Amino acid sequence: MSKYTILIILTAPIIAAGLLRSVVSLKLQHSVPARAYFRIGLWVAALLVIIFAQPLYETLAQNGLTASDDLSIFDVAQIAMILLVFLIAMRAFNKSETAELENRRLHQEMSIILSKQRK
Amino acid sequence: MTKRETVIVIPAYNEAPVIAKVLEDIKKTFADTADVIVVDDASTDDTGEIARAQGARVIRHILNGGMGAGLPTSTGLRAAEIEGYKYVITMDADGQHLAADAKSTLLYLKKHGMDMVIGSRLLDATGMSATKQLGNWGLTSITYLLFGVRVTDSQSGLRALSRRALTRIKLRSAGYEFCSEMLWRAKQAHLKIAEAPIQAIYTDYSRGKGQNNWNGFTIVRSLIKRRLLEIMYE
Repeated sequence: MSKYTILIILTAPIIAAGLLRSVVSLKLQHSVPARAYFRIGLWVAALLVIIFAQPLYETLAQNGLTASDDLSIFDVAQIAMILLVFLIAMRAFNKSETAELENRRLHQEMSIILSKQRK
Repeated sequence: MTKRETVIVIPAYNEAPVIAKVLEDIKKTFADTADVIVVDDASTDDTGEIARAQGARVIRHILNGGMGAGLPTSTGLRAAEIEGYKYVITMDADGQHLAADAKSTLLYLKKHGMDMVIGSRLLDATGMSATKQLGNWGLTSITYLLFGVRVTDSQSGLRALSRRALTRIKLRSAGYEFCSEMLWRAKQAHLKIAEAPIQAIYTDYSRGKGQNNWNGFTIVRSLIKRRLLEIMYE
């Protein structure tokens, strides 16, 4: 199996998940359409880069734009892991911020209710 | 107490030396046409008691947010939304704003059918130091670059809002960057934004209480982070 096929196999599920999440948030109106389209565009661009990694890399190499060897298995695994870590970090940040926001709202609502009782 | 259609929201933290004067000015200018909510961000002095004695409704935070006026302003806006007020004015508690300017900002909002009117200190910057002007200009430019909202004073705490703005603007920030975020949310909600000139009164007290210029860097960092991250998630 070629290294480029392995790259696609490793990253396609991550990209598919990100893409699906963006489409779902658009359909459920959980995010502003412009932002959802932007995210879909980013994921599609990432997918295209992965799919066309071989011709892209070869074109760059032919034109002397790379001074490196072919991608090693380590490079392939590293790219996949970077994408995965990025996705995990985004999800973690999103969850922690949502929790912080809820905590803050709870504090605000409690302060308002308590002030009413004190009137 | 009869509820009016306008409420003035004042975020306050340890403002005991000046809060009474600010509330007296409001009382004199607005007579009985506006209610006042002072959001006490868990002050360690008598801010809340003094405000209550002046007839204001006081909402006291259980914990201090520790990040400036963002959280208490947001609490005040939420209370105004719950109470069904038609118009809201936000103003600082340190005596930097005149009640007369608050009134003229509100009148501008009503007259021109706006959703948000910002009291701009930079339309006539008399009395503002060159450093403060430069800092405000920098933050206003960054607000424009990041969010596409063109105003002259993105950091002004004196703002008048319609009920439409009140119900549509949902802030995520609790820190100093909330002023810029409010403009961004207003733009996202397609609200009509305008500016009206106001005077900024700088006393030794307000200079001492005001934002440190270095906070500008914290604001910029927070704004860039928020802008980039919100591209990626809801």
